[in-house]
Amino acid sequence: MSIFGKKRKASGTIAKDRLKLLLISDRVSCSPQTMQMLKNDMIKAAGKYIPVDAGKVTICFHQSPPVLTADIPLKSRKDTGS
Amino acid sequence: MSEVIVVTSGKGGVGKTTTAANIGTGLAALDKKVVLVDTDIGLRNLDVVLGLENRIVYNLVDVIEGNCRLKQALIRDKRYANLFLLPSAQTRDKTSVTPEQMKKLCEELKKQFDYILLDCPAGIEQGFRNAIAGATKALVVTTPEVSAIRDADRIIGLLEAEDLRDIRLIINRLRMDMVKRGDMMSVEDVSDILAVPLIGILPDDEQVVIATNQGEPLAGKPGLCGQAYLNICHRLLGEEVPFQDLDVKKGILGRLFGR
Repeated sequence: MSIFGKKRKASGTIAKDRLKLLLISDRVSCSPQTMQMLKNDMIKAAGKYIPVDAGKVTICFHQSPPVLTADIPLKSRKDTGS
Repeated sequence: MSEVIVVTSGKGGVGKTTTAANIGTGLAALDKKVVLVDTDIGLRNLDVVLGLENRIVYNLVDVIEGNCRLKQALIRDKRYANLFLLPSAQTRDKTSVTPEQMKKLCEELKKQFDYILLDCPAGIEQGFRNAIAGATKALVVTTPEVSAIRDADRIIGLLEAEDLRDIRLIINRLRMDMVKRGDMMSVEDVSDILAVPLIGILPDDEQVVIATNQGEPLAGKPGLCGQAYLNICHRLLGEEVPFQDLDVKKGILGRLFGR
């Protein structure tokens, strides 16, 4: 941000990013911890049947219409070695 | 065909009362018959912003309890003969009124006025419930700050849950200099996050404080804010008005001789 080499993320961007995260949990009255638990359960459930790339799973809420989307990448064949 | 509009925000101190006073004044300046209703029972404020504090005899609770006729409680504005204030009660509390009574009052006011503007108290409790009960449209006021936006989002959710879906956003106290250096969320950031159509942007302007000190709303007066309030009124009337350029002009010449 500064020509004097001191790098600072613009506080407006920080505010926007913080709000986005906050509102996701506010809107569904679901805390970030609960979101994490939900995500873990989904990984476990899907993992029972198909090989899931657990590190890359993301879940998010969309506002209107309210939808929960989970993006669950699967392990490619060479990862699983089959 | 009259409209009942609630001005709300969730968070306190973002400029609900000032916005309501100015939109009411602006609509009156555009020849509409307008009543401003202060629904903040116990914390009366709209009267001072309008400079009408010395004329109050009866109030909203008196009307609802039948201590006076509606006409007796309505205070005519100093500047516009077609603008009226229904003041709130100062010595009572929010539980003196129910949402059903407010609905009935709004129906009564609809017979006499083109626009009924309800100034909502902060918070999401009974005062808020009362204020939104009779409304068919909501103006949500926010400033570009995390706390105000979070509360605005909650309010929007509550309005939608009450089936009040005609919601417009007003962004108050925007500082373009801060937006430009990245230290304030921009209009786009705020409207993206809240996902509600924008109806007004107000720059952070000391004229607003001065106007409130004097008890003279700015709407329609010369200056950026006076125009911005009037633009909101035109949009409420269904006219397409482009948003003003609040941006400081680029380039050295623009910076020196801008605005």
